[in-house]
Amino acid sequence: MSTFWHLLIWACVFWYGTVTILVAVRGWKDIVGMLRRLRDGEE
Amino acid sequence: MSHFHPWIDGSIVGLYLLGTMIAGVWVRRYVSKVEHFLVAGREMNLYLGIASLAATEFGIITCMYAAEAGYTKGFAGAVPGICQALAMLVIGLTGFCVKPLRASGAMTLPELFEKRFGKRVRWLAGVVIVLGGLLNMGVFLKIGGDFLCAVCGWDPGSLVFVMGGLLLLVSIYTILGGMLSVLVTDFLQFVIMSAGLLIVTLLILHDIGWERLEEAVRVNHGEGGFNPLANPTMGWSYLVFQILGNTAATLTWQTTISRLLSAKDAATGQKVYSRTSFFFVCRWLIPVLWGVSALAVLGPAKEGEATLMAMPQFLATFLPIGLMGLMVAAMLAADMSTNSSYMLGWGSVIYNDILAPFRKGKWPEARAIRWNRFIVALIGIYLFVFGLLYEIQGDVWSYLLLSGSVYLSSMSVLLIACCYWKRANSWGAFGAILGGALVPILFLSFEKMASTAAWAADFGKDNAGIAAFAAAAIGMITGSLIKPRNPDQTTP
Repeated sequence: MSTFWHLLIWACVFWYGTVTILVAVRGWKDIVGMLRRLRDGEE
Repeated sequence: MSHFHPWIDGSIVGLYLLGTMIAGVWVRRYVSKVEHFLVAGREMNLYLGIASLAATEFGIITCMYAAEAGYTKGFAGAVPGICQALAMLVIGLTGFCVKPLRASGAMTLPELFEKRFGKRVRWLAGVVIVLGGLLNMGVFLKIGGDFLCAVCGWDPGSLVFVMGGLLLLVSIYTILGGMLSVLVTDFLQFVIMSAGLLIVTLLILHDIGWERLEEAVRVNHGEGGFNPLANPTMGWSYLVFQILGNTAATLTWQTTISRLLSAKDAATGQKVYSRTSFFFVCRWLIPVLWGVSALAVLGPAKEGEATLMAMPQFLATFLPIGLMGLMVAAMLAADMSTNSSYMLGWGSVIYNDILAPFRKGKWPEARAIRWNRFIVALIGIYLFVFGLLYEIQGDVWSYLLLSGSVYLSSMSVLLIACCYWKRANSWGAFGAILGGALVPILFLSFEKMASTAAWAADFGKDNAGIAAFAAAAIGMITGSLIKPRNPDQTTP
């Protein structure tokens, strides 16, 4: 069981690190798009 | 003695707070309808949804109770995270309940229930959701303040000011910008929180090392520190209750489903669920690792010592100046995103469902937004007062799951029946709400009474939680079968 938790911790570190970079880039684009659509909807 | 440096670490924290406040207040200009305030005009896309859901579901409170589980149960304490990740993945991939829920166009769960079970069930479901949610959330601010005081080495007397300051900052942008401000600040908070969590975790693995962590768990908890079924405080009933509770939370927890309801369509909502699922393993395992580190460095708690405070006491002396500032900013980010989403989540149910019978016709948008802002402000005041007055007995996660099960058991049964059981009706809904609430309340009462306390201890919190789900399901089935059939009933 100890090996399972050791591997899972490293899986978390790698997965979380990758997702953080991906979401930081794509999430920013999502915000810009969301605010543009809301502004266009008002006009 | 804490390593927190007022100028160096304080500047990092100050910079983060300034950035968040500017972003949160700036987007208020886009709020012109109540739909913008409550569900961001349903314009949320996939990656923003992932950031927001992850930031909301990780607060200082999460870090504290998961670290406490790591300290007192070893790595096996991370099992609830694995249960929730599996639930999230399966629900995201299959669309179980969440697909019809998003397709219904409802802004809250009770709004969906009205279509199937009528106005009274909507109102009662709203009351149960808000009561369960606010009881649950009531302890967040106090524990957040305790953590910051311990990590920064501040006098416990300054807790009131830390709580007040945190609440004021969160309230300002949530009241002004609603879900739009919450989404934008959640994004910033996700990036800062993730950076802080990852750096601290890597530093722990590098400086303390896996061998020492594993040794600490083996010496203090034996095989039970790795295997939940071998742990005397866990076992099968714990595992079953975690699976039920976490599945129900994924389906019905207002702050989780509000991300689904804010998504631009059902497919995006499902993707947010499935792609965020592994985050729930990280959400538990990373703080559990911090708790295990506290065990390895500080040793087991002595008689009368609070196990909840072991992790912040460890971090206060483990992290160097500079990194301490990043960690405090990360934890502030985590806490602010959680508090803002929770305030808005329960506020939306109060406005949308509990106050619905008192609104004659549709309110003008400006008036509706004003009322929502007022409700969020009231929840803020409640949090402050409850946080100061209430003292948790026992471990925090048990309190949260038990107070949550009053709501989770009945609402999950209502949602499943609403979406998939044609025979379900209002009598069944009342039966489920009654059954789901009665069992935990009776159990809590039995725990407090001297004549039944021993029996309650033998029965255990986990069995009581499982019984609450069973009672809700029996209530739904019995009530629905007793009521005569209504040929006009349709599934939403």
